[in-house]
Amino acid sequence: MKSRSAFTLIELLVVIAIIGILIAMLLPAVQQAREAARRMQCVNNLKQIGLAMHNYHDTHNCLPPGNRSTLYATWALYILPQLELSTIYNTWDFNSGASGRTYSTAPNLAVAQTRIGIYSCPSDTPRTNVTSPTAPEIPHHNYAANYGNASLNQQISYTGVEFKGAPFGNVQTDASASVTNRPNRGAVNFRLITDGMTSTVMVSELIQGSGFDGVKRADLRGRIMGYADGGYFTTQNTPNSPITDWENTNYCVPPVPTGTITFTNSQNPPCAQTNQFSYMQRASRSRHTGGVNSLLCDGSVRFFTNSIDLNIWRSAGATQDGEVMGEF
Amino acid sequence: MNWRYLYGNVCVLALCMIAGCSRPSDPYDRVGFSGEVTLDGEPLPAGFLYLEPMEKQPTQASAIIQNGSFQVESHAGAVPGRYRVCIVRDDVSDLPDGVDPQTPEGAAIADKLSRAPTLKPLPEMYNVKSQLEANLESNAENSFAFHLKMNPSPPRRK
Repeated sequence: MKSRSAFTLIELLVVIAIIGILIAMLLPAVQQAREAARRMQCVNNLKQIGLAMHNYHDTHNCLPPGNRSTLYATWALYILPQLELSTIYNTWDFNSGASGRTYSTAPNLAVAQTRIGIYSCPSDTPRTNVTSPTAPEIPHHNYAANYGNASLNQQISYTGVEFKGAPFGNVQTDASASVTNRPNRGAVNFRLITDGMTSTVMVSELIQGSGFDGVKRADLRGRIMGYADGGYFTTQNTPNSPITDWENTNYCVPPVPTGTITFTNSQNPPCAQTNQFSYMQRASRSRHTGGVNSLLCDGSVRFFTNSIDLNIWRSAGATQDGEVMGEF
Repeated sequence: MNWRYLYGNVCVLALCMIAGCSRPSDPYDRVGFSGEVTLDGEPLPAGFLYLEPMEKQPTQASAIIQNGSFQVESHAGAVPGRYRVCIVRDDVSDLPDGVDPQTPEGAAIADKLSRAPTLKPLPEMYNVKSQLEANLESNAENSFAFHLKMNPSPPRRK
């Protein structure tokens, strides 16, 4: 038979198979490159927050308050002018405690309902949530202030970890923020960070919580604009720890049912609810593979892996534990 | 050259490349643990158990207690050594209907309730100021039993 100069079916199939394998190898690489770009954007956001914190410190000679009581203001609002967002900063009523307003009433609500790009990590899905069927919908964000190495009460944690200083904390006690649950620690200035700026974490990441059961159970992790319990983390547990966060009563939607909660959302990080607010605590978490980006007090951003030595992570969270952060 | 050989070579090459993409796993030699928790003689219905390092170990661990027993596989466990054991009960009910913690008044009520909860938490000697201990060992069963009492008396430990 006379041979013709053309491809046989077998040859064609082999070529297609090879191309298929090459594409299959390339596709994950493309996805990883996209995630790397998102992570870089996230690092940049943290860097901007770090510069804003330092500019705030230059102006006021202290870091911004972590929160004012439960419902009046958080660190995320105080540094808005340093992020060139003065217009919405000027809308906020910082005297809302005295005037009976909260973060979810006018005029503050308009600010709380604004999604701020610098506070959003592109690797995470943007979420909003409500606390009751009639409550306003408020967006969540991704960055949280460091409340130290123990729990929210900044004294001792549920598991007996002693508090050793933090760059942020509550600055106003009243009927809704008692001395036991949220002691007034005052604003911190750099002089009080005796461990050194390079070995203390300032801001780190959170995963935006979501899920509302239609009545009163909602996940508020990441509600950082004005709500005291939305925008904090502690280093009691390592990044992305499988150990549950301890959230406020009503405000935990766990990924799997717990002893008391049957309403779940598989997208959420693990949590349990406590009726003892003073022992609330929450780990830093992110959607990046293998760890979280954290802003250190010196303005640098470092990646902390999930498998970091617990003692190093806790000493990175404390401002006055007398230890410099070890190598990791 | 035979097409069949080329096929084989390409497949082997692809497998090698995929194998090269795997990430380094957890750097610690963790061990699992299990056991039981009773409260006044009855199995503790629901709760959490935490292991806090006492010898500067690099790991911590927690277990969910259901019907008085808990079990943690080695991948979620902790490295061997002495750990302080903290046990917290998980039977917290929601806030009473009509209390909205998103208002100053509701937040004040919630704060007050949190300091004098209707459901009494476990005594502090089992969590915040825990005196319970567990010693994790490699190549051992690491089975523990904790018998708690609501009215504090010195805790017993296996």
